[in-house]
Amino acid sequence: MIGLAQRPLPGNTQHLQETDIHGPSRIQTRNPSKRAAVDPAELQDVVAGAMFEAQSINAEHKDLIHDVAYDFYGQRMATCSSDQFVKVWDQDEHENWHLTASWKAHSGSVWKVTWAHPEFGQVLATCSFDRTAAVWEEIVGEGSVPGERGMRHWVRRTNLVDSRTSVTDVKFAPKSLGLLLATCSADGVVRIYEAPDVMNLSQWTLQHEVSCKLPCSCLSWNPSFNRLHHPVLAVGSDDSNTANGGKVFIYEFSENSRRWSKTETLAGVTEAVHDIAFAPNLGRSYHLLAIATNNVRIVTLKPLLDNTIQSALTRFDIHTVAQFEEHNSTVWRVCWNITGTILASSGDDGFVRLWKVPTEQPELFTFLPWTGANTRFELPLFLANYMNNWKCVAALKGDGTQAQSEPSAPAAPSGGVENSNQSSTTSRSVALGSIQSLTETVPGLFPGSKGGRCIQPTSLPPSCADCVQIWEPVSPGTLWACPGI
Amino acid sequence: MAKMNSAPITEKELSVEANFARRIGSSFTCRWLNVEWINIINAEEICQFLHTQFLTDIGDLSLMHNLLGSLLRDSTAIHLHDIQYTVVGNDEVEPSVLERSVFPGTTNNITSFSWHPTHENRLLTIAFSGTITDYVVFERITLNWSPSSHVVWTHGRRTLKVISEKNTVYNNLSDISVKLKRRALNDYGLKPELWQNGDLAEEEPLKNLWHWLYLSRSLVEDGSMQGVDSQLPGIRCVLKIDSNETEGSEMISKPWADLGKSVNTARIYRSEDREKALQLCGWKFDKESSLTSFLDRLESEGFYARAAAIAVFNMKLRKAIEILNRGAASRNRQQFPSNLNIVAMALSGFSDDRSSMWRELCLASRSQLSEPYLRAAFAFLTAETDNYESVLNESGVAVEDRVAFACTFLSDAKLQEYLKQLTSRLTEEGDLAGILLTGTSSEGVQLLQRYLDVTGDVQSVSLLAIRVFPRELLLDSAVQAWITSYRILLDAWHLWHQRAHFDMLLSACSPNDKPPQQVFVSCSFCGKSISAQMQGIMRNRGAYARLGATSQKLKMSSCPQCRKPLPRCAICLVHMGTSSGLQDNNSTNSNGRSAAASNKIAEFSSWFTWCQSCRHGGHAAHMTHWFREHSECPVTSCTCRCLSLDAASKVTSIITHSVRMQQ
Repeated sequence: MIGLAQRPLPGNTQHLQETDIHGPSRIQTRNPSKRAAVDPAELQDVVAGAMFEAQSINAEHKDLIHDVAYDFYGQRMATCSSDQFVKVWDQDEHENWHLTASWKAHSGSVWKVTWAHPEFGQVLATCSFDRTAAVWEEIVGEGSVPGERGMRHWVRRTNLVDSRTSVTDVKFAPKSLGLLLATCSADGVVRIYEAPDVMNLSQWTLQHEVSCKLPCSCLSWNPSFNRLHHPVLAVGSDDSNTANGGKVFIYEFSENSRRWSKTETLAGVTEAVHDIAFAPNLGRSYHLLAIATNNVRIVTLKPLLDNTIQSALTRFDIHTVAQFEEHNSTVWRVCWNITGTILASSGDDGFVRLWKVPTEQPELFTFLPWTGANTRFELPLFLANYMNNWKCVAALKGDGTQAQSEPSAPAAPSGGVENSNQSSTTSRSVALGSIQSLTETVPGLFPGSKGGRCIQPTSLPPSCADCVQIWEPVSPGTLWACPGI
Repeated sequence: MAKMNSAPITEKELSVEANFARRIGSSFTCRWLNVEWINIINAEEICQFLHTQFLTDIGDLSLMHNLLGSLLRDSTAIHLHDIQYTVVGNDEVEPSVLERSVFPGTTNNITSFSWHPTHENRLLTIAFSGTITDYVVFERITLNWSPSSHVVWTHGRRTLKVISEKNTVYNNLSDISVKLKRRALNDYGLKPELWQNGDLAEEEPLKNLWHWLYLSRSLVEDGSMQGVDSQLPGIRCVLKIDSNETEGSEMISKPWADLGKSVNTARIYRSEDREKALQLCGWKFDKESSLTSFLDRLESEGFYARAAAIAVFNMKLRKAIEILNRGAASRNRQQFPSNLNIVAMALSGFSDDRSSMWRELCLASRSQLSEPYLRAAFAFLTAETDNYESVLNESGVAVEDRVAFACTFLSDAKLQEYLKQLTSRLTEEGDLAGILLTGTSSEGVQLLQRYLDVTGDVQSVSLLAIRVFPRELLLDSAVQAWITSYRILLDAWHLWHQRAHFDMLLSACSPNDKPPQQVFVSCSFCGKSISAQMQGIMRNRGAYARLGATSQKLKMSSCPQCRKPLPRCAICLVHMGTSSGLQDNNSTNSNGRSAAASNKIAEFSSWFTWCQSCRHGGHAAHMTHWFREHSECPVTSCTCRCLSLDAASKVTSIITHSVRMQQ
């Protein structure tokens, strides 16, 4: 019988008593070399050394914040939360953020918030669990009261009620396509709305309705400005049944048929997808798509431009160039920097991790020496080598401290790493302490006599018969260890 | 709770439930419990479930955070059920559950788990193998990255964390967007002379490229080189490699000048095209003095090894030894791991005897030299007849030196082959040095595209494109995409001045598509353009010189068409276009610079401005002064809030206003 004593104990004496009751057992830290880093004094040093000043903002939301969105200039910020409120923040000249608007936007959790391009005005779109998406515009107050004159407030311009289920994502299209809004919902329908008159935001027409059969969780527009590229939309599904196949779909709009059609399904991604993000294209010849699933993946889509059949849909040359298991848990969000060169991801391990291809790559590419003969150089080789070299460049703990720099191996190329390294290098950041007893069977937890829980191993190793089992928290909230070993 | 009896609940679980209900103490949550618990139990696989601790500061809560943990049989995951309440109107809709799974990191199945009684979100699991894990369930983190290089993420339920490029962590990322922005602020790419832009780029390859383009353009301009179709020629173009009409080169045997008893000679190739190519590589050594000055320059910059190697390639052995000795004596010695004195000594023993001991030993120890130029020099000296591969493939040697070397020592066929290989390799790598070979041709565009693919430096490629590439190539859809992307980048960073200058350079490339006039002042009576008339008069000024003889500025206070007066300034009530003597006096009495400026254009304070919405307006200075204190239009009975219409300028004043309101 094993139970866990896991409640703050008044003192060591009582602690010893409790453990005495249940007899001795041998407790081992699983990986001594790794665990050594959790020595309390050392831990403090590490944290102090790695501390950096992340500005902290009290979001004043009453529940979990689901999304943070920056406007085109990065000077305004919108947050939305399960408390059904949307808040708008403005940055002053000293880079401090001020809450300038807050309103109850929906009657359910607000999942996502997004800004339109500023040339359409100060416009936000939100989507919610209450099955609606809404478009909001900031207007100058019309009131005649002197205090309110010139004050701004947000008004709901339209409520898009077509969905029968929770609307899980909403995104404005790149401005070159006009004022277009895409939503996706838990029943697997992607809807494209258009405001035919950009001056009138209360009129939106449902232009297209595409069903992807699986519940949708996220979508992303391809931000390319190349006029040879058709409008492209990627949609992710959080369906957790791996038997349902690929969970990321690429939709493309064909000018000729005036229809959105599915051109690709990323068959390699079968786990639930929580977020996807196209990188800003910036004139690259390929698109980068980041996928948050049970790991972080980066996929390149290279349009195979064929000028002879312009009407037909573009075929993409798709490669998974990176797959990171470092989060070692569910990955929730991914986003790119403005140049699409660094990716940030957040996961259930409580970390924000940043990924990029290091610019300093001394002798990465060893080319065949020139022999004077007709040596063929395989052209895609270089890019493939290059792209497969994504690395973790920073791991930031959620509370705004930086984790120790980890020597991370280059990401596995497509189809690479399995989950075999689940509890290796990075698990130390997840499981703050991990204790292994040498017992074989564990019958379960049961409520202890004093409301706590206790441990009782069924068999004891002979070598440790006289080890007195002492459980003590090494530092508050970090690790329980048996100093008897 | 009666319904629960229908499900197989063990005693243990019921005790947990009792514990749960006691802690909740809220009928609201209990009602939920009825519904939800039944749902979960119906899922039948559950072997046990427990609940979380509520947040410690319960007093602050208006909405409950309900997290229920459940464990499925034979699973390494714990499922968390986050209960969502939705209220439509006054009706409370059936609560719904957001599920997520956490993997506490054990490979074996979890047999049981327990929430920490006081710490929020902390739990202990025990696996089948007996592994006990202390796990903290983190709140889902959402994050975003702003165009102005801020990363924001959520911490816990209510806190946002922001880092910006001012943080050391961010700095360590060496984010290229920060670099691009810094360069743009310094007017990178907009400087009139090409080499000035190179000095603004911090990277060596970019710097070299801008300098080379400057050299190439000046060679084209002084007529010593001809570009095809307004391109700047590259080596391939100069050597006519792609057109297959190369004239044969003349082969010369050049003796080693510094070896008194010259036995052997090196074979070098000469032709007019090769001379031009050498010129493009910066190896224009037709006179002895030009070589000397080139080497002196390299030496003064501290590139002793390169200077020595180039001296060797030009068969000036004595000079090379002198350079190395000077380098050894210089203070920068620790910069060179290999002792230059020793290298000089080894060099002085050069013999071109194919079987000498010197050659044998040099071949053996050459690989130990760390300096690529010295390696190349020895490779050249010890080379078998005309086999210079180790020189040509020495990647540490600058491309222009390798190309110049090839242009000197390789036969026509080999040279052609080598240059083709090198071009494809450099294009492949996106190495900017390859522009030397391609010139500003469509191959050059391909190379830049590759460079962009690898680095993300859209700034340099678009600036290079509009500065040096011919107009036809700018129409390429890829190049257009670079330009659009870069302009949007500048807009997002509020670098509108830089964007405007970029646009001016861009339109200078195609003078025929002049953007049309977008706004003009029209008479409110006849609707005809006033400014067009003005321009017309200005243009014909020569004929009417006597009209404007006294004043540089041509003023008018009435419509040239219908002779009706122009509108008045809402503040001073003077007709627009009336010359105000006061300001004229000011400008002439002040320093010469502002007087010169006012010759071209009226001072901004006297410009006519108006509100886009109510069409009232006046002199710019009057207007700005008015709106310093007011937010409404100065015209009587017009309630237009002209000031509030432009959002971009309003953020700070709104903040001060709302702060005041809060107080």
